[in-house]
Amino acid sequence: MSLFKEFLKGIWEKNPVLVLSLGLCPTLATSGSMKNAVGMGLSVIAVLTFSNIIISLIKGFVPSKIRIPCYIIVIAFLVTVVDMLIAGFAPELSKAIGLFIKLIVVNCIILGRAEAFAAKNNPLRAALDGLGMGIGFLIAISIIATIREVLGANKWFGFTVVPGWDPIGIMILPAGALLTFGLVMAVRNVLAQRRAK
Amino acid sequence: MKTILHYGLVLLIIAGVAGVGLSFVDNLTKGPIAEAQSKRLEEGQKLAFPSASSFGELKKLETDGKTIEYYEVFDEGKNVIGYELLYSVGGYQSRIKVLTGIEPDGKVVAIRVLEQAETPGLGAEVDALPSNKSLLCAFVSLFSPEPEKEESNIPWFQAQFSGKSPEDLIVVKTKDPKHITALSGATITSTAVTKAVKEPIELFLKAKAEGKL
Amino acid sequence: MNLATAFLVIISVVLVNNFIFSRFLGYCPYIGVSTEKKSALGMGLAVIFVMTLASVVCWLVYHFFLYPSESNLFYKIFGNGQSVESFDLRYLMTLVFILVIAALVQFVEMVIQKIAPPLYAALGIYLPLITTNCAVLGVTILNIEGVTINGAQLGYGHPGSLLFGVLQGFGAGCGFLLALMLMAGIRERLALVEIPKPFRGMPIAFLTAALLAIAFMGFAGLVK
Repeated sequence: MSLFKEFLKGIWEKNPVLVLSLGLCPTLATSGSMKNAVGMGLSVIAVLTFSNIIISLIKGFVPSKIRIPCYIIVIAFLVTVVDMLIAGFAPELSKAIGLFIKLIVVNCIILGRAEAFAAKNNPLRAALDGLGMGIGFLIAISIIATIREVLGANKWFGFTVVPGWDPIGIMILPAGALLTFGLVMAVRNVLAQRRAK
Repeated sequence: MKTILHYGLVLLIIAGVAGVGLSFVDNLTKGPIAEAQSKRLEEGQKLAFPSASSFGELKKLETDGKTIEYYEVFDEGKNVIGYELLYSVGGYQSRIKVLTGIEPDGKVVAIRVLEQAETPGLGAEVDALPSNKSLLCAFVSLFSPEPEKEESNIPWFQAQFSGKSPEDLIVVKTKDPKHITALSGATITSTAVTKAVKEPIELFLKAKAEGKL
Repeated sequence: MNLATAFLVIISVVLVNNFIFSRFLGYCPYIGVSTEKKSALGMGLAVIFVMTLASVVCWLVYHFFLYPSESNLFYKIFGNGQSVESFDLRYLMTLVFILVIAALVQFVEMVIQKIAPPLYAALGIYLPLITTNCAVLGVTILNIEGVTINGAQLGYGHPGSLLFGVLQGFGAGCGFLLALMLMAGIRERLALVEIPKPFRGMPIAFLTAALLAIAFMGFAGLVK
């Protein structure tokens, strides 16, 4: 597979959220506003890319029987670094989504890519895979956050979209997140079926 | 036995490197984290009492089983012209911390919500600025060369508290300049913020009258 | 703390602040294991068990090793003359907690296998999955911040009280079991229904969960 394809597959064909249904909790929890969603997406990109690189580099050194704890340590290290940087330089974001930043540790996308891809490929390919998957995550979470924030709060990145329109409050609440996610997945299925024909 | 040693060693090395790395990053970010916190407090202090020239040390008042933290507010001649009360209550899904500037008789000067993590789009609107700036305007202003006019940076919900006496701090759902108008769809948050303003004022005034300060 | 408060904590975390329907924790196993009631029950019980244990162990580790205070063990042993602050290891929290949970799950698996083989046969396959259940790590971190009932925090302070933490861990597990069983019951019936093709599988599961979440919104305000 060419390097470019390696990067591209995470965005549509194997989109971690919409196709593989990994990393659901942060997608649902932080998609109430675009600001939070983009913060989350960028954090995942950073952690995923670097964890893929590091794990690909140490794969020869780690015995296969204890590889999972080793990967978890690497991921927890990166997550804590990102968490501290956000607390230092974007305190408001940290207050809003801090718990879910910490929970990137148990995000199945990261461990899944480490196990399925980084542990078998060279650092360059692993980095591209991580970057692509991360961007796929960012795109998916942004789509959901856009739908929820526009319909639920009549805003996008905090700016009013249609002045004077009363939004549908439930889209911001947990139920709205599940509803949006289910519908977006269904739409993606329709599109994929069309392409397959 | 040999394999166990080998495994232990590998784990130990990785965990050790991670631990040392983290303590290094912790040292780097400790400063900015503390700075961000104290900056937010300082800004809040100025906004909650714009006419103040300096503030006293943080003091604690224990009364009726509750703890209120407060600062004395000074004018240029070091006379006490009011107080700032720091109080937190539970909101809809997070802890809300409010700084309230009051005159000695308990009238609110201004308030500032220092910390909250309420639902975006509903409760989190306590921090929403009054400008109803639409997406289109924001997009256009990106390309316009002249700098924007400084708009008021006090959220409209918090601005309502200014100049009110504690007995007027009642949440209502209609637009009513005498009381506090609730955020639409976020009554719990609105009530919580109001409680975080009203409760410490009443406790503080009572303690002050009893000479407990 | 009296019995009524304890009851309130449990009710609050099971119904009002249900981890699945209002906090978004634990979705991967929730969607993955809710296709039939039998496996949902096994997974739910395993989660209750691990969450309660993890709440206790993580609190103890935080209190005695990470948080800088008089009772920090590192301070007690090596602390002669140094300030308490220099033993602040809170930045290791995420790393330590996830390792504790992973080790705990492994340990529980071994113990159950030895002393209760029938239980192991029922729960065994779900145990390894729990390590990556973010509800478990989530509850241990939330415990450190104190227990929230409808926004008002009980046992607040650093770290929040152990007893509240354990109750919250146990309650969160029960809430997870409840959500999982409800979902499994519905999905077992959904399997017999003709569903439009694009909605089959995941999407319909999410729409069902959305309706359940709306139903659970009715519990808001139950605990005052």
